[in-house]
Amino acid sequence: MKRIINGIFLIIRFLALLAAFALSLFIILKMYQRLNKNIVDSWQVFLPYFLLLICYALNLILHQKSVNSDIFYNLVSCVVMGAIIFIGYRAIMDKNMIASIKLASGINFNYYADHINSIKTMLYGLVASNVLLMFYRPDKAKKKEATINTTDNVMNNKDTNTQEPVAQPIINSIQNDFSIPNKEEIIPQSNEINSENLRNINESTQHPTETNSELSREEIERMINELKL
Amino acid sequence: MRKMIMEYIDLFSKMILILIFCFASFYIFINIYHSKQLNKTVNIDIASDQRYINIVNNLAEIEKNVDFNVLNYTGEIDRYDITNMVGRLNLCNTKLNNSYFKAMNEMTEISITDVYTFLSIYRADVVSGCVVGQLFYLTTIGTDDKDALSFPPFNTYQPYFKLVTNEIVNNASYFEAELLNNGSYYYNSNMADQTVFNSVSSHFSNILSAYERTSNYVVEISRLLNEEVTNNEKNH
Repeated sequence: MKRIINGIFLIIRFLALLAAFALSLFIILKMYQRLNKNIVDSWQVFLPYFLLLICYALNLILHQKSVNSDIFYNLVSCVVMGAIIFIGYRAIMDKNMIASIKLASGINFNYYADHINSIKTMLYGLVASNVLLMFYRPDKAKKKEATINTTDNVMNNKDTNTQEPVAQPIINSIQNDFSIPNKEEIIPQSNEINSENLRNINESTQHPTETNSELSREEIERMINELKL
Repeated sequence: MRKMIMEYIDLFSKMILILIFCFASFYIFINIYHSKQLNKTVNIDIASDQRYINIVNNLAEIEKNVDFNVLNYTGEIDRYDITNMVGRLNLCNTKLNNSYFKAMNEMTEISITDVYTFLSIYRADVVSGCVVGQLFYLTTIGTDDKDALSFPPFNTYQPYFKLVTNEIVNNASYFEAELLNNGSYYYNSNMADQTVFNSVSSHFSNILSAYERTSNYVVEISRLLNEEVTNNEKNH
């Protein structure tokens, strides 16, 4: 699902970039025509569009997953292009702006000119972000991270596993039939005896059977001493 | 080290993206809001507006004031100049009582484009067509200007005519400049403290007041002329 949505955003961002560029070109051409200025002077308005187009092309040609599969980048690209297209659309179609009626040229140049710097800022931001993401290697970083996590998990699991069997034979033996386990069973693999285990032992010995209670206590105390040693 | 650099690259790129996302979202929302505001209309009840009633009364009074027989005039002013002035005032009356002004009576709601249309007609017909085109010569009467007319009874009013004419012309230019601002709903505009929607009714009110002021001015001139003619009639 995520891959499908990302793919849709990826296509839209390309198409929206072309649409935004075409719209900007149309408005700027009309604006410069009206002012009798040379269109070449407007290169700085279109420079971020070209840079972004080159970045997008590189992303596709070099199969840069760090950018192409980044759903947030694709989403932001779509939002930015949407904003640019909306501004261009309003400059042409919104006749409720008085400057549009006053200029009588079909396009509200004043309104569009107000937004040129903001549009450039957003586009340069997308370019910068794209370039940074090009150098980002999520696979290697993730792989390393995954390795570290796995090692940590193994370590954690080992700790937890070793804690359980230490007390289990003792508790089972006490609770069931007070039969004394073998020394090999009692002595844990590691020397970690925690207070919980000792508490469990003490609790079980507080209600012994009448037949062999003295013996059990002695045995248990001996076992505890051995373990403590 | 490599991992740290990668993390920083990721962090910076995401930081830039978040900033752009906020910026672009702000732009989209502020434009949608602005667009909606410009599309809104304001309810008006022009027929019961005191200023509108005053203007209508003024128009009737102008018509009444210039309705006299010039041939009965025996004063200092040349009859040709009196006739000329009557013609100018009649033309002013026609310009003030234009088709848009008449249609305004039936208006129940206005939008920003209606306000601009009203202002355009006010500037073209009333300010340019009447105040400047027909009555501007009153601002130079009795002066040392070699082209100035000699219009003895009106000579003392010349500074007043000049003042009012300047006020009317400047006000109309100011209103247009304010209305043109409605396309720049940006934080650098001087309209940051008031919404475009509210300015529709305020601009309309300002223009209607200016309209009333202009009609008062024309009425005053017509009264002066009427008094001059009435006081110097043959049978008086």
